[in-house]
Order: sequence, then C-alpha cells, then structure tokens
Amino acid sequence: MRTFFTTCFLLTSSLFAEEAAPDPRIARDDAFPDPAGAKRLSGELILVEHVNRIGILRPDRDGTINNYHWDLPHEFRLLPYGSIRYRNAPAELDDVPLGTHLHGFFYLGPEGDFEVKPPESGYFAGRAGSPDMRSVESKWSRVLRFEDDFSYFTRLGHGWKIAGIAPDKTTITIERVKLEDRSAVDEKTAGDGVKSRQVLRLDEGTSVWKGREIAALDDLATGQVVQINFTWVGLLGSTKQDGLCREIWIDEEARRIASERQGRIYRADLKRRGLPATILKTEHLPGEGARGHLTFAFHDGIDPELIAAFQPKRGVIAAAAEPTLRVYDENDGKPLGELEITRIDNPPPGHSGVVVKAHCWEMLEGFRAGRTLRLYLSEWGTPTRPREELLWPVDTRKFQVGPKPVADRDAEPAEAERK
Amino acid sequence: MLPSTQLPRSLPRFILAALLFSSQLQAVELEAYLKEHCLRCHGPEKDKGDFRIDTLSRDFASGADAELWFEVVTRIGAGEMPPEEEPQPPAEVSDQVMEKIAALIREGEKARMASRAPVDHFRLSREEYSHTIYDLLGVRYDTRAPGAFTDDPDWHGFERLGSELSLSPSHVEKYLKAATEIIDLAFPDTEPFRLKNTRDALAIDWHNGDKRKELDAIGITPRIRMLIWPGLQLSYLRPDGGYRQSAGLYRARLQVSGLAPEGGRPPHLVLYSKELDRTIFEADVLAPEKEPVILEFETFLPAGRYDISISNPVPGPSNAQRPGREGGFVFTTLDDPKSRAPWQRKMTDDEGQPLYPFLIFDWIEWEGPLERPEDLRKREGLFPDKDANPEAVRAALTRFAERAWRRPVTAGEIARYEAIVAAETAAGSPFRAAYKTALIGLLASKHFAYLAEGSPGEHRTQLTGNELASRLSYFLWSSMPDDTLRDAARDGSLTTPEGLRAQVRRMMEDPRIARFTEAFPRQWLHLKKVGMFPPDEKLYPDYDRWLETSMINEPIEFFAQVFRHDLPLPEFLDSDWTMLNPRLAAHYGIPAPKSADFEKVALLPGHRRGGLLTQAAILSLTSDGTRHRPVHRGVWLSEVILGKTPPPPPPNVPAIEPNPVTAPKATIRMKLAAHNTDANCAACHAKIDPLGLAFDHYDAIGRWRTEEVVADGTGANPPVDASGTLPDGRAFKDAEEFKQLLGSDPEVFARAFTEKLAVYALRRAMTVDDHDELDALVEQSSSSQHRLRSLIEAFIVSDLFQSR
Repeated sequence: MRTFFTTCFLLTSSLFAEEAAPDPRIARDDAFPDPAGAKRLSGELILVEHVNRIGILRPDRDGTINNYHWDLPHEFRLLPYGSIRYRNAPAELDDVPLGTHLHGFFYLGPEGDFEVKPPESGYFAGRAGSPDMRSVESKWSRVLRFEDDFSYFTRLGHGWKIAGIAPDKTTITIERVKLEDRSAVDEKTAGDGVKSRQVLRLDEGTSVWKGREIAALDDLATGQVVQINFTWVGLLGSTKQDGLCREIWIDEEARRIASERQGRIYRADLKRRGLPATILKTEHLPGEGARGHLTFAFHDGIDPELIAAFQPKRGVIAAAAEPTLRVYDENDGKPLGELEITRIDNPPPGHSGVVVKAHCWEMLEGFRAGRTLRLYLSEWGTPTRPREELLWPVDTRKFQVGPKPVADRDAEPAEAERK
Repeated sequence: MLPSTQLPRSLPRFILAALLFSSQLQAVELEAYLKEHCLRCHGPEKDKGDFRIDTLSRDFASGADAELWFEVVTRIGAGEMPPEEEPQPPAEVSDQVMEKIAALIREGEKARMASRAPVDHFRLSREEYSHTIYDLLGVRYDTRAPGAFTDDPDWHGFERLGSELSLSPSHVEKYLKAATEIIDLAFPDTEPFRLKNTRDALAIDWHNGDKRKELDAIGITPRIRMLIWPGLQLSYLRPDGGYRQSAGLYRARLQVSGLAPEGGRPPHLVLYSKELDRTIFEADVLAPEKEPVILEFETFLPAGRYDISISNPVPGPSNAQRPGREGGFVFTTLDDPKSRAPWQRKMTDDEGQPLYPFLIFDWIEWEGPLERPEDLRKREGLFPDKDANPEAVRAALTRFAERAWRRPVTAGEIARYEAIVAAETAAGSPFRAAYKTALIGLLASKHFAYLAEGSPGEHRTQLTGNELASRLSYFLWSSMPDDTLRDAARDGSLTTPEGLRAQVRRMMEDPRIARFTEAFPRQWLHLKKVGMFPPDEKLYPDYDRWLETSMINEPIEFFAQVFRHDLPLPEFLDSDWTMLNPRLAAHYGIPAPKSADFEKVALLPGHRRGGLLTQAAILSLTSDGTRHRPVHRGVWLSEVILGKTPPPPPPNVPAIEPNPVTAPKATIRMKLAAHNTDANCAACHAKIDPLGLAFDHYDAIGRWRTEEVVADGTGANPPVDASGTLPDGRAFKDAEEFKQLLGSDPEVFARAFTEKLAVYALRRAMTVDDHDELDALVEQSSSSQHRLRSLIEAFIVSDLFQSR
C-alpha cells in the first residue's frame, strides 16, 4: 500500500518527489494525499460558496474543542479531488442545504496556509482572545470528503434505533445500532466521537419519509431503525439535548428513493459540469508540438455509472479546470481519443481507481501533471453552465470586497523578501 | 562535331566546354545551308510570305535585322521550315545552323553592349546610389522604399550594365526628390526631434496594456515579459515619436529570449512595418529563458507616424479561437502557473522544454535620429556659414562637387551653382535655403548619377586615375572612392601596379568589401529569381519567407567565406563545408549550428550539399511554383557555371502537361523524353538537359528525394534517375558525380567566373575582343589554384580592368 502511494506521488508531482519526507497531514491540489494524514471533523454547514467549493462549518460541541472556542467558524475548501455524499449518493456542494450536519475528512493546506494560533488556555483563550474569530481547528482547511449523517452512518453499516418518543413528540431518543443485526454500537468502539445514545429534538419542520410517501411524526415508532439527518448539533445548550432532527427516513424504501433522487440530480449536473480528474502525466510526441498522450485519474466519489460511460471508442472532450473545478469557457475543451482505461487496486484518497490514458491532438497549457480536468462525453452535447460557474471573462457575482486582483496576481513580495 | 570519344584528353577543358554551344568550330556553312534550304522560297526568285533571307543584314553588330534572324531560328527550331514538302536537311545540320545564327545574334548583341563611344556613361544602380550617398554625406537613403527608385533592369543577372540602366523622365523626377530629401537630412533647417524611448513588454500586450497602473501597484511590471508564440504578431513597437518623429537613422536594441524545441526550428523574430512595406529587422533567436540576448540594429526611418510590429512567423498551432489568445494573464516566467492561461495552447512540456519555437520579449529601446561623429565628419566643410564670402561658398561647392562627382571640377562648372545661390538669395531666399538648392542641383546632376569614362572628342582606351579609382571603388565597394583612393588617383600612384595593388589590398580589408561579397554573388547567380515563382503552399507547406531569405543568404555567405579565406574557385563547385543557419539546416536535415546566425558547417558525404550547385537557392531559382524544371536548371548551369548561353527555345512550344490521372506516374524526365521526339528539339536538349537532370534528386525547393512525387496517375511514385552523359561522353550517375566531373575541369569554371567578374566590374558584356585577356587571367590564376582574392587582384591590375 505504502509503495503504491509512493509511486502515486512520483507520478503526480515531481515537486513532491523532491521533498524528502512530506508531511502526511498536508494535502496539495496537485497530488493525492496520504490516507494516514486525514483528520475527522464534523459540524454544521453554515455558509456555502458552491462555485469555488468553499464554505464554513460550525464545529460540533462534541468535547474535542475547548468550550472557550465553541462555535467559531471553520472555513474549508474542498480539495480538487474532494467529494461529497448526500443522502447516500454523490453530491455537489450546492446540493447540500445549509444547516446540514456533515462529517468531514480534513487535511492541512500547504504550509503557510494554516497559521491560526489562538492561545490554548487561560483567560485570553476565549472567543475574544481568538484574534480573527476562527475555529482553532481552522488549519485543517482542506476537505477530502463530506458526508451527511445519512450517508456517513449508512457507509458504516449503522442506523438509529428509536428507543423512545416523548408523548408530545418534541423529542426522540435514539440508539446507534448495526443495520445487519440491530446490535448496539459501542461509543468507544466506534471511535468517531458520536454519542451512541442521543436525545434529539423534533419540531414542526422535521420531515419524515416513509416508503414513497411524506409521512408524519405519528409514523415514528419505537423499535424502528431509521436514518436521520441532524442539524443544530449540540447547540441547545445542554448535553441532554443533542440536536435538532431535520429529516428522518423510516424505512429502506424511503432511503432508496432519497438516494436515487439525489443520484439523478448529481448525474444530470455532472454531465453539464464534466467529470473531474487529476492529470498524472503528459507525454509529448517528439517533433509533434503539443500532441501527445494524457494520463489522468478520475476523482473518487463520482457516480460509477458516469465513469463507466467512458469507453475506448467514445468521443471525449477535456477542459482545463482550476483546483476549484471551475473551467474557463464552454468552448475550451480539446478532443481526446484512443482511450486506454485501467483500474488500480487500493487507490489513494481522492482517486477513483480508474486511470485513463488518451491521445490528445493538442494539449493546452492547463494539461500538465497535477492539474485538474473536467471531462465530458461528446454525446452529452455542448456543456452549458450558469455564467457564474465560468472563470472567463470574470466572476459575475459581487462577492469580491475591495479591489479586484489584476491578472489574478497578488502583490509582488518586496525585493528583500524575494532574496 | 567530333565524336566525343575521339577528343584528345589534352585539349584544354574550357575549349571542350566551348564545344558544347559555340558555333565557331561547327563545320556547317551557314550560307550554303540557307541557299539550299531557304532561298528558293525566301530569296530573289520568290519572297514567300513577303520575307527574303538573302537581303537580311549580315552585320549582326548593328542589330538591324536581329529580330528577323531570331524568327529564322525559331521557325527552323519549330520544324516549320523547311516545309514538309521540301527536302529535309538532317536534324543535326539544322541544329548547327540554328546555333550558328544564335551565336551571331549574341555576338552582335554583345558587340552593341560593348560599343564604345568617346565617353561611356554608366548610371549608378539604386544600391550604388544608396551606398554613395552614405559615403558622401553619412545619410542613409532607402532607394527601395515605396515611391523611391524603381527596380534596376538586369542583363543575365547583372544589374549594373551601362547599356541597360537608361534614364527616363520619371528617374529625373525621383533623383530630384531624393536629392532634396538627402540634403535636408544632411543639413536640416531645424534640429531634428531626437528621441530615446523604451517600450516594454506591457506596451505591446494589447490585452493588459491598459492595466499598467494596477500592475505597477502590485509591483509586477518589471517582471512582465511577452511570450510571442508561433504566428503571433503584436503592434506598437514603433519608436513612438508620433507626428514629431524625424527622419533619419535609428538604433534599436531589444532584449529577447528565443526557445526552440529539441531538434526543431528556432523562433524567428521579425520587425515589420506595414506602412513602410518592409521588414525592419529579422533574425532567428536562440537564447534561454533566463539568459535573454540583446539584439541591436540600425535602420533608416522616414518622418511620420507608422507602426512597427513584432512577430514570430514560424509554423505552429493555429492562433484561431480562444486557445490562441492570452486573455488577462500576464507572463513572467515559464514556471509560474499564472503566466499562461490554462486554456491557451501549450508551449512547454511538463519539464519546461519548448514544444514550439517561441520568443519572450522584454523591451525595445529606440534612439535616433543618430548623429555619429564619423557621419558628421563627412559633412564638414560642405556647408558655409550664412555670412560666408563668395570665395568660401565657391570652395564649399567645389569640395562637395569634387567628392560627389568623383573628379576634379572646373571653375566654370561650379559657377552655375554659385549663380543658383546668388539668384535664390536675390529672390529673397535665406542663404541656407539658397545654398541647399545649389547642393540639390549638384546631387541631381548627371555627374553624380552617372559614372563617366572617356573624354569628349577623344578616343582614349586607357582609364585616367580618377576613372580607375571610381571603377575600382564601384567594383569592390559599390560606392564612390574614399579620400585615400582619390589621393592615390591624384598623385598618380594608383596608376602604378604597386600603387594599385596596395589600394586593392587595402580595400579588400575594409568593411565596405561586404558590399561586393553580397552584390556580386547575388547578381552572378541570379539570386533575384529565388522566390520569383512562390512555391505552392499546398505542395510545399514548409516553404516560408524566412526559408527563402535563408536560401538566398547561403550562397552569399558561402561566397564571403571563400573570399575571406582566399579559397580556390573549385570550392564553388564542390566543398566539404557550407554556410548554414538553423532554418536552412532543418530544411536540409542537417544538425543545426549552435547559434542562430549563419555558421560554417562541415558536411558529410551523405549530406550532399557541397558547393553552390546543390544549395537550395540555386535549385529553387530554376523551378516554378509547383515543380523542378530540369531544362531551366541546365540552362542556368550552362550560362552561370560554364559561361555558355544556349539558343533560346522556339516560341509556342507546348508546356509539359500534368500526368493524366489514368496513366502510370511519370517523372518530368520521362515526360521530357517523350516531349523531345522532334529531332530539332532533341538535338539541343541533349546538350542542355543532362546538366539539369543531374540535380533531379532535389525537388523544387531543393529538398533531397529519392522518388519524384507525382500528384496524379496510377502506381507508385517513380524513382529519381539523375544519371546522364556529358557531350564528351563522360557519364555520371548523380549530382555528386556530376560535380566531380565539373571539378576535374577547373579552367572551364574559372574562365566563366572570370568573365562574370569582368562583366560586373566593367559594366559591359565581354566580347571576342576580351577573350585573350580573360584566357590569360585564367591561366595566370591556375598557378594559385584559382584562388578568389588572387584572381580579383590579378584582374584589377590587368589591362582589361584598366582599359575602356
């Protein structure tokens, strides 16, 4: 496994190869990271800038954070190969409603990008002492994967058994169990910091799904094993009430329908946006200019049905994308041909395991090892995206405060600093 | 003609070559042939078609009936005469008669060319005019600019024959206009607006040029460079003097990097002005990204506002659509991902190695108009103060006239110009304007525009010291004599062999000799014809303007190298080296020299490029836009290398048709063979064609090939057959063997070369009267293996050079 990762790093980033011992906690845009370096964090999604795949979480009051630092915003950025699962289906950030509780795997950004050092104790360790009012865990800003509770617990093979319902239907007591035999999941064994027994609040906004129907709180019954999406986790000021329960899927059919629906949305959107992939290497044919072969890996988390549509004889268009996965213009794509598709075992985090080598008649500047692509099948038609998702000519949204950067450049360091 | 196998081997080789085309040794009696086959219908008894041959003038030197004699040749050549019903002479006999008449016409033509009046006048070619003006006044005047002088007519490539360079009213008008501009440049009324400007990469980056303030604010401007990818052309490189920009000589320095893909062409930098319709500067550039070079050049720019663009016209991906544009990205370094837009066409691979030839431009600095001390010195003493007395004015005019007219002047000649000054001032003109009018008159005079040899009313054959000085300086420098040469003429030392030799050696070491080593090979080899028929873009997609320029420069650089090192003339026929720049090396498939300039490159046998004959320029100047032309190659070689001009083809010869779609593919050689079934044609072609077919391994733009690509037809492309037999029976299998055969007879080529040298120097055709002198020179130079400089020196001190 380790050997494989080493090979992968060599393939994807020559820069990486120069570093003797890269910090496994750091994830870069141009290389798949070390699985050992990820940190698990969870919280509630409170701000989303879906076009640039950034946002803010409010971390859980789960005991891992000093209570002086509770509720400070945790800014994050999805890695180019970072993925989301929502309702146990692939999703993009704009599919996930604000307020959804997410489980994430986080990495450090490149060095220099995580300088958040609030005092760790003492009087000034409170919110007022945090100089920029940011979560103490903010340095873990790069997200490899987000999952809502539904997806997270389903992936683990867990569900929640309703242990009790308040007579007035304002709270529900649930216990974490294994789906296969309904046996209890021990909190310590699970190791993810999630309490195995929780008392959640219900309110009139709580949605209940049963079969193909919209159900009601009355349909809840003790003994049912459900999937729940939380919100307001731990915010109700008491350890007795663990959060608000926003959605409950009572039975398997309800869960299947929810997943299918999300999957359809995702697939439709991704055909317009293109499948993301990281370029592993480019090989140019001598004397043929920019013509050559392009080898890339599809990212993890993509619906397998979409990846399976890429076959050797299919017409494929590749467009250079930024690490945010934004492309510049709908007409930027270059055709690829003669696809050779291979699968690798135990791919690194973010890697789907599907590697494609393709002939490219003319590569673009953005077609370089470590850079990101969006890929479309020609048969999907010309991609059309909302204007704000395109980088060219400008970001149309008035999100920018202060002067706009010129030519996408930051100010040059002073002469002395450069030396 | 003697059967070639019986020719004695001891016969001088140039006589052998003369046998190829000369009529003198032909046994046929012209008059007897005419009587037997022509005069019955075109003589005293019958004048069919109202045409009599017996009354045609036999005085070919007068040229009275030259056209009609030409008609006789063409009718015989076309097989029309004698008519079918009449007894037919053997084809060989008709062939000899045609050659005889053709030779007589040529001799007559040459005699007329060489006819000597008491005074011979030779108008300066426009190139000589430019050089003379510069040497006289330190002013660059571009005689090739739009609206300036017209192209000089040439005679067999030479653009300086007195009898060809006539004068028309439009010339007079242009001379007057030029003289006015030149005098204004030399002696401007107001101090010209002098500028020193630098235009950086952001100035030509049209997309980001308006963001200078913002880019300055983030401190990036000093690092901004401009990547000029293949086919990109950017404007705004002008000196930017706007409407105030004064005419004059400008110096430009520009910093640029040039990166080429492994084994590929280097990028090519071209500065061009659409308004001036000329390339201001061009060069291949090879310099690493982090080690840019500074290129420097000087150019004459007229007054006014016009743009200058920079481009890199080399093949590369299309610049159409968005991948061919930069968007809002600013370029700093290749390893900075923000330098290039990800959607742009990729210029380097992932290791940073270039995929295409591209330039990275930093800045251009313009300075001018220049006033160099050496140029100002040339004007000293030529313009008196406004308060100068008449004697001082006269002295200044005399100084000007003696230099401009390249001889002593009389007081009477100067009086006319003094009178102009007086008349103009009397009419109210300021002295400066009046004096300038006189200078314009002096410069527009025939004494400036014409070299004169001889004295009115005198039939002098020997040149005077001044005439010799001019002949010498226009031969070697394409310009007027300098002070040293004039002094040598004045004190008589020039007319002594030692004095003349000393001057020749001095002049050969002077930088101005480059004018000879450029102009002579260009004219001798007919290099003006390179690109005359632009090769078809579909058939020859690799052909571009820079290749054409590089092609033309190869023989010129080659000649200069032979001259510099005083190499033997046979080097021109075959050599184990040549002069190549990367563009030409790529064209030949030879490893490129390290620098972007022309360099001496050692050739291996497999390169097949030794000597002049297999250089792309020579091979392409005889081709048309679609295919090689063996017959034209043969004619060129015969004329330029062997010094023999074959008779012209008869009119209305049908062209060789393209290969029919349904017929097997055939080479031009095969078609020629089928074409020349007419005995009259075949006899002549048998002598010309082998000289051209020897080079069939080279296509229309001089690329090596082993099979001839035939567009239409069935079957495979036919293999090339470049074998042949010389008229003396010696066989060759290809161009290399052909070159060896030519090289084994160095006198033949030396004789032809010496004659070309003499035509260039003496500005007239050579006639039978000159043959003995030329033969003697060849014989003399054989002792030094016909070394070029030695030959030139011997020629200059010979009677031939010093006689009228």
